[in-house]
Amino acid sequence: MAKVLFGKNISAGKYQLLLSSLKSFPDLLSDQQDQALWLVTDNAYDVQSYHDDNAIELIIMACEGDDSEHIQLAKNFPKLQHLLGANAPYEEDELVKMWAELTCQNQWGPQSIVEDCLFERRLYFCDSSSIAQSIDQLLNEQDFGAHLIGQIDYFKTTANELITNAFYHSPFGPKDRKNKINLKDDQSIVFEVAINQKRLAVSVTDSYGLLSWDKMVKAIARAQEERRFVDEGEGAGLGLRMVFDNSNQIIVRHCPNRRSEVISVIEHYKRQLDFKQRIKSFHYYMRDHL
Amino acid sequence: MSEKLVIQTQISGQKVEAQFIGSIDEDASFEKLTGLHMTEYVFDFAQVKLMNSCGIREWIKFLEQLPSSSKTIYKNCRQIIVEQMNMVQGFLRENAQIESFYAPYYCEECDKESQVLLKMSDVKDRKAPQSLCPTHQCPMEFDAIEQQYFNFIRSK
Repeated sequence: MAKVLFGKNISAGKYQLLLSSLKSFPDLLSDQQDQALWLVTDNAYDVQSYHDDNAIELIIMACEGDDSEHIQLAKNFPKLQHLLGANAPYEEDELVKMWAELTCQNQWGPQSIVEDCLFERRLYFCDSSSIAQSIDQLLNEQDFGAHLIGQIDYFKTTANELITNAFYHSPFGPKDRKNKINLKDDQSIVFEVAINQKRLAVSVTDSYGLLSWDKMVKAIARAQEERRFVDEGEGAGLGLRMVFDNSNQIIVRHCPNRRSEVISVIEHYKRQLDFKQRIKSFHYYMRDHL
Repeated sequence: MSEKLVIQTQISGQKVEAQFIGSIDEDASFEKLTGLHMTEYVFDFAQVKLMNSCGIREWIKFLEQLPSSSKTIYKNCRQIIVEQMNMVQGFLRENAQIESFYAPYYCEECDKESQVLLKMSDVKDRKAPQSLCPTHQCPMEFDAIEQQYFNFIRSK
C-alpha cells in the first residue's frame, strides 16, 4: 500500500475535492513509514520538483488548460501517470474509481468504468480485414444515437484505430498494414463497448502486453508536436492522437508481455462544444499480474 | 473487409472532379487520379464515411504525386475531414482552395444538432456565421471551438 502526499502548491479547492474522494480509502492517508508515496497536485511546478524524489512512485495531477501541454508534461516526467481533467463532469466519481483501481490491481474490461450498464457488447477479432465491417454492423444493430450525439464518427475512428493498432503491434503477423493478419483464437483481440447513463466506454484488449505508457505518451506527443505522419514505421503515427482527440478519458492497463487494454471513454454531452471543451483525463495502471 | 473507397470521376477539359465514396484507409487507392495530369482537381468528400490514420498517410502521399502546378479544390468536407485538415500538415496542399465544408451547429430550442454546409466566403475572421435550424427556423449556435475548427483557414 502507498500513501498519498499532497503537493506543496496544490490549490485549496482541489485539496478538498481530493481529500473527499479519499474518504473510502483511509489506508492511503495513514502515517506508516516506509511506504511509497503517490504525489497528488494540480500544479505543474510540483510535478517537476517532486519527480526525482525516489520515494515518489507515481504522480497524479488535476489539469487545467491545454491538453497537449499535459501530454508533454507526462512525456517529460514519466511518473506522472494520472492526468485528471479539472472540468470533468463527474470529477469525484472519476477520482474514486482511480483510487479503487490503484489499490485493487485486478480490474480489466470497461465494467468498472461503466457501472449499471444499459448496454454491453463484446466482439472477438481474429481477422484484421473484418474490423470496419464489424463496427458498422454493431452500429446498425444497436441504436447508439442517444448516447453518441455528434460522436458516431469519433466512435468509429477510435474503435478502428485501437483494434488496428492491437493487430499490427502483435508479435504474430506482418507489420505492414496493407497485409492482413489472421490470429489464432487464443490470440484474438477483444473489443468491448459498454454504456451507462453517464458515459460510453470502448475497450480493446490484446493478449501480449506490448503497449507501454511510455510508447503511448510519446506517440501522442510526437503527433501533436510534429503534426506529420511517419513513413518509416508500420503505422502512420497518428492513430493514438486521433483516439486521444476523440475521447474524454483514456485509460490504459498494462501487464507487460501478457496483456494491454486501452479504454476510450466518451461522456454523454448534449453539445459537441462541451465534449470538446472537456479537459482530457489519462490514467495508466501497471499490472504485475493478470 | 472495409468498405473499399470508390472514386467517381467527371472530367471536363483539364479539370477532374472526384467524388470519394466509402472509407479512406490503408487500402485506399488513388491511382485512378494520379495518372490523369490535369490542371485542376476538385475533391468531393461528402460521402467519406471514415478516414483513419493510414488513410491520412495515403491521402498526403497521393497529393504529393499530383503535378505541382495543378490547382486543388476541396468541397463538401465532412467534420472528420476538417479536423484532420487542422491537425495534419500536408493534408491541404500549399495553394489548396476550400470551396465548402460542414460545421456542427446546435439548436437549443429544438434540442437538436445539425451539420451545416458552409462556403468559405461565409466565414469572416474565423467566426462561425449565423445559421437557422432546419426544423423550425430558430437560430442555432455553433457547436465547436471556433479557434480550433476554423484553424485551417489561417494555416492554409
